[in-house]
Amino acid sequence: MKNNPANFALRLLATLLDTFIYILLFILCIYFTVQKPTLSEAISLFLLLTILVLLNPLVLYAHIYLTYYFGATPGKLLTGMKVTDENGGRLTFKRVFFRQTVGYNFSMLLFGLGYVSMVKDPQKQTWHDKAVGSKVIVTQNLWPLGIIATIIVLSFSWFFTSKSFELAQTGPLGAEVKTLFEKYQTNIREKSTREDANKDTVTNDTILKTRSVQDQKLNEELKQYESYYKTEVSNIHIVPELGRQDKGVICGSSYSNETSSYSRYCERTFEVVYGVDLDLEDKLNYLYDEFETKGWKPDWGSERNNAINNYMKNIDFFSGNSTHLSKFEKNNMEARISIATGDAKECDFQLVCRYAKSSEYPYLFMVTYIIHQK
Amino acid sequence: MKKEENAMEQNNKIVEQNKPDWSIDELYRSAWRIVKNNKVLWLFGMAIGAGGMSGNYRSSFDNSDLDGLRKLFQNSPNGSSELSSVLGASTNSFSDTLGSIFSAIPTYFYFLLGLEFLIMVILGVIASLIYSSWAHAALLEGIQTASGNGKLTIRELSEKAFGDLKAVMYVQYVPYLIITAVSIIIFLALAIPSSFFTNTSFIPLLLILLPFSILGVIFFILTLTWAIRIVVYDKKTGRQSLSLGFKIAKKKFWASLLLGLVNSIAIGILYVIIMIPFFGLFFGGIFAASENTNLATGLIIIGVILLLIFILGFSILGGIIESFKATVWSLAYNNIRGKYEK
Repeated sequence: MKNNPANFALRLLATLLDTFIYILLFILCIYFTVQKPTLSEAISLFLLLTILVLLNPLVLYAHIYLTYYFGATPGKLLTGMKVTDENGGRLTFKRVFFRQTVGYNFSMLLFGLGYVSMVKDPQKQTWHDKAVGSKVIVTQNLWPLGIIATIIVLSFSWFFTSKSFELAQTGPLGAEVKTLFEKYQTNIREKSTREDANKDTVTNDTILKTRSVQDQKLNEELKQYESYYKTEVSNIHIVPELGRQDKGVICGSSYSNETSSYSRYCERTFEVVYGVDLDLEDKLNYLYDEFETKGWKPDWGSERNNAINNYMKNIDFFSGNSTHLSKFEKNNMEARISIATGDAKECDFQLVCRYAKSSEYPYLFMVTYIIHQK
Repeated sequence: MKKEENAMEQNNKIVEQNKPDWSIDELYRSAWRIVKNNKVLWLFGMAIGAGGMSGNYRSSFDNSDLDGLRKLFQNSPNGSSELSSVLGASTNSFSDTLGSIFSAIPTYFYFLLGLEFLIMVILGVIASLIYSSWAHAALLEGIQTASGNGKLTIRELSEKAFGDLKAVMYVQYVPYLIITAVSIIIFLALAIPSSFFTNTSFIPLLLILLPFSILGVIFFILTLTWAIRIVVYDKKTGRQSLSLGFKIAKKKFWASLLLGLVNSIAIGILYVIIMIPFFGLFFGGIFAASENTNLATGLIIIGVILLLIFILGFSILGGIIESFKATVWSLAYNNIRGKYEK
């Protein structure tokens, strides 16, 4: 066993022990930090410990010079192992440096295959061992001590972690952190309140300004197109197939759900429900609910989903959609799509879509839903 | 009779002289045979990739950190309003408390902390540079041994690479340092007068400089490509290798450029061919999602599983491609070795 190459399990144990020792150092730094009475002192101490211990190159790269001087890291020493050259002699500093930096990276290739490969290697060498001609040998059969050391280090870590938590919760430092956290929360709340107030002022101003400009535009447009709209609406009302009086009209534009001059005109004569925009599927569902509140109750039955799909396919157009435009142009700029027919029980739901030129948009898409009670 | 023989001999000499130094087809076939049979080369190919990226060392100092620093030193556009809120009625007790806590910490703590970070970064960069050069040297040594049908081991190649390490590092990094310094000087020389002229007056000058710069970069890359092989195969010093590399790059410019282009195109096509099924599955899945949700989910799951497997395969593939490229250039160098030194 003595001077035999160390196996994978033993080297893994040593690596874990080294890692746990470093973690214990970190936990000890936290433990000493939380004992300080004020936050300022605690932060100062933690920074000092970080400088002296945690980030100190002498500690971080300790594995390099420990391996060079003693032939092993603490983990390896406690498990009875030593790093030597192929003849059992001491490795040069250059080789140790290469092994512990570049070599480790080389072994990490393909998710650490270089480490695992030692399992099948007759000399029990990892890739970084092969690269520098080193081997890890067992000098003493100390693996039980390695396990005990690991357990002790883990127990210490657990003990100091729990102590640190306890101190942080009950000590003066905890109280100061708590107060600071409360101040932070108050600060955030105040900031968001201030921001909301600013936002509200800005938004309201913008909305008012936009509305007044829009209003003016719509009124001007309404004057310009009034006669056209009149004919338009009268045409809708004499749609021969319907034959019965309509109950309501829903207007909108395909570009936005702002009111159009057309809908403004309609408002004078009909009960108008606004809100037709590009978000068709949601809007249709919304309209369905709107109808219900108004007591119109179009029963789409099992065809509701089909109706929505049909609607989506046929009315999914915009000014750039040439297919739809040509379809409309062929049909006197009008398309009539029955949405709920068939097993619709209480009413037909038909919509008439028209394109009209507008000053505001290249094509104003006017959608008029006509609810027809059966 | 003798005259005829002499003429034949003369003719053969002329044919031999005019014969191209290499045929790409032959180089590719030999390179593939070597790479296929020597998996150790793949490892060093992978190591070159890993050393080149050196992500582990640099990721801790990225742009977001710089942004944070910049914010510290920048005057906030809302600075005045923030100041007024501090001085006004809504005095911020949180920032006051925080300020008093941090003002109690000695300034030299931050300095020492910064110094330690700097040492870590420098050591990391040094290790990464050594890693890349060592892997390069080992790969080239491996190719040489393999082309002579020798057996490759990590141990032997690494040992040979240690011998070449200093010169390889010289060839790999010194020219880059010089070029960077020269570029900075040129940039400053152009930037300072540009502040006195309008932007448009500089466009013709830049247009004249551009082809020269491209040519310069190509020459630079080719010189380094040959120089590193001269270091490893002929055991010349870094400086000698660079000078010889430049000579070869000059004399074999078009043939070397063609070889480099063919390499790049072939490898590009290979990557595209390998990536197409993955992209096909991915985009096919997205497209199918609008038509059939079950099919789309199935395709995307298959794609993700294949991609996970591919991540492992991809690094192996990277190693193979890296070693293949190096082998092609090394075999080409073997064909012209000693021919263009004068």
